[in-house]
Amino acid sequence: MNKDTILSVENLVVKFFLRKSTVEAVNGVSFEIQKGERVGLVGETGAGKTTTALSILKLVPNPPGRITDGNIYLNGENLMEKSEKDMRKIRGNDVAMIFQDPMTALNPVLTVGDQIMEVIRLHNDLGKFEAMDKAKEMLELVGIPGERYLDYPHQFSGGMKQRVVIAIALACNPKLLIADEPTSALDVTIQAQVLELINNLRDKMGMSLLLITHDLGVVAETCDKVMIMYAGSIVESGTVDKVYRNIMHPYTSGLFNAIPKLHEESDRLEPIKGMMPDPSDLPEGCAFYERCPNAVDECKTKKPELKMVEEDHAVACFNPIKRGA
Amino acid sequence: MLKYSIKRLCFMVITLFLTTLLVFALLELVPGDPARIIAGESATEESLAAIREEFNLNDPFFVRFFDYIRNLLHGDLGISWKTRQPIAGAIASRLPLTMIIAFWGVIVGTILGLVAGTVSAVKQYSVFDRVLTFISLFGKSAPSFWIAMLFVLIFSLKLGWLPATGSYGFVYWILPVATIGLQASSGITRMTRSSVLEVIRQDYIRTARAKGQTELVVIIKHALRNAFIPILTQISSSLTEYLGGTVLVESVFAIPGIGNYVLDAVQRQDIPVVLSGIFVICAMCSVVILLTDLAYALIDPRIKATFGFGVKKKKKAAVAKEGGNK
Repeated sequence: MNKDTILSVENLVVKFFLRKSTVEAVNGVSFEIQKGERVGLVGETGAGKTTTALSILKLVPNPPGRITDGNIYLNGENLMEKSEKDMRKIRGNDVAMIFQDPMTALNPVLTVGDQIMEVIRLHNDLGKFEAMDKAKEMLELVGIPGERYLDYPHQFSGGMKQRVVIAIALACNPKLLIADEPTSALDVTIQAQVLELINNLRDKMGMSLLLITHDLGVVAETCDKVMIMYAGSIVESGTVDKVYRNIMHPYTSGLFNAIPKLHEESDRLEPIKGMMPDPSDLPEGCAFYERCPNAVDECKTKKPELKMVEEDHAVACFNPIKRGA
Repeated sequence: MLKYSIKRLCFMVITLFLTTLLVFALLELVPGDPARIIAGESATEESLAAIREEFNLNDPFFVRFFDYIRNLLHGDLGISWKTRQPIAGAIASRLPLTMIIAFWGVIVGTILGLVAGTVSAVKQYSVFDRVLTFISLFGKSAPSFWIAMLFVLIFSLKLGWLPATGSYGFVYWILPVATIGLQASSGITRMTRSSVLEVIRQDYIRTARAKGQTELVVIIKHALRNAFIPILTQISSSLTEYLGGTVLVESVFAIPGIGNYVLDAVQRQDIPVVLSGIFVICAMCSVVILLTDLAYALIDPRIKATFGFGVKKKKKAAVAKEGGNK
């Protein structure tokens, strides 16, 4: 960990303790985000992406969820040792989050101005009117006229609401912005606008970005690094350039194959066969074993560790795809 | 907002009119000769005829009904058949007492219910939650007169802290208010709990937490306000219930409230008193319901929007038009 490391997650384990079973949502995830870096976290629904993100803010719903192991360092300080009071100073200030569904992420009975002002006043020593001006400024920044300060969320469209959510997240100049599928709930045309907005503002303000998505294309456009997550573990990670040029994990390859190709004529998509294993009953060996075309005997009994295979590229697989094969 | 209020006010008048008609018609069906009820069993035919003349009992149904309505509009609630006193005066002397006890009871119930329900929801499945759930279930199912008698037994007879019956000032109201408060709080607790439970799982609560907001503010500012519509409905229905006079509670504490007054009138077949009593209760309930509906719009801007508070919409449409012309 060098001094430019904003966030360092070490061996994070999150479990949800339900009445009948224990769901292992995140199983020993480690990664780092450097200052100004844009990292994509990709995986299918239920892979543990959102749980990983919420862990950074220590907002995993408890009960039933709990971070059972691991450390999270923000600017070198261990968040696991922070009190709830200290965490409140970090949330919204050092680390801000954009949530998946803008339709439900805003409080329907408060004006959007109020909701932006709330975070500003929590972390800055500003009077009401100064905070109001700053909130209007934030609205303008995300492309909403400042006069709409007094409007309620239901008076905005989905894309506009997501802009408001972005304004809330960026209001206190966070060092790390976590965007949890910021465009999944939006129309395709609006998706591009919102992504561009996030990108532009990130460039302007220079914060680091953890972008959670299931869209590999978005990652290619937006991110420097990518991590592929499957059943609570990172199976492949590295710079976008290295990973996309040299896919090594069979799961990553499956994800890429599932993208419809414009230049080939085909009627059907190519899905990855089977389902993700039940996270409350994970297999002993590799979680991808059942669905993996490259599986070998070793995969059934041993869980592969994430290992460096070349510079800036790590894979957790016993039998990775060979280049050119 | 004004347009909506006026519309609701008109509906309220219609409701009151129809209710009065219904009650008037129902009381018409009560068996027995009204003149004989007024004059007593031993009255002669002549005196009965005189009474029929005096109270206009010979007029047809609708003539009497519209006479009654006309008098109501003049603030005249009629004359009691039994006491021959104006009913308005009797109600005016009893109504404040019923209102004091109902309002304070519901205020106490609301405070208790909101606190208990919210804590219950936030600490779901904790020991605290279970105890509160049990108490509120108990409070809901125990009959009010039984709770009232229990209070009298404990606080008046055993401890001697508070007077058991009568109504001569503040201390006399404590036990009735406590009885109603306990009962009202049970329903409000249960409603608050379920409503808050639903809201605290919402995404915007997570957003508020992600801003670094304290848990207390998250609950009060973000959760409770969103959860408040069903709670308000519950509060308002409790209030209307108790404004109608809590006959049982009034009986136990010997409070001369409107509930007792109407009940007495029913027993003595004093029909004008029953009619006017019900009318007054009905009018109060209508006002409470009207205020509740208006409060919904204040709490939730989306409800306000569905009522179409014309001005803003028109302005926006005008702006859009202008934009289109450019």
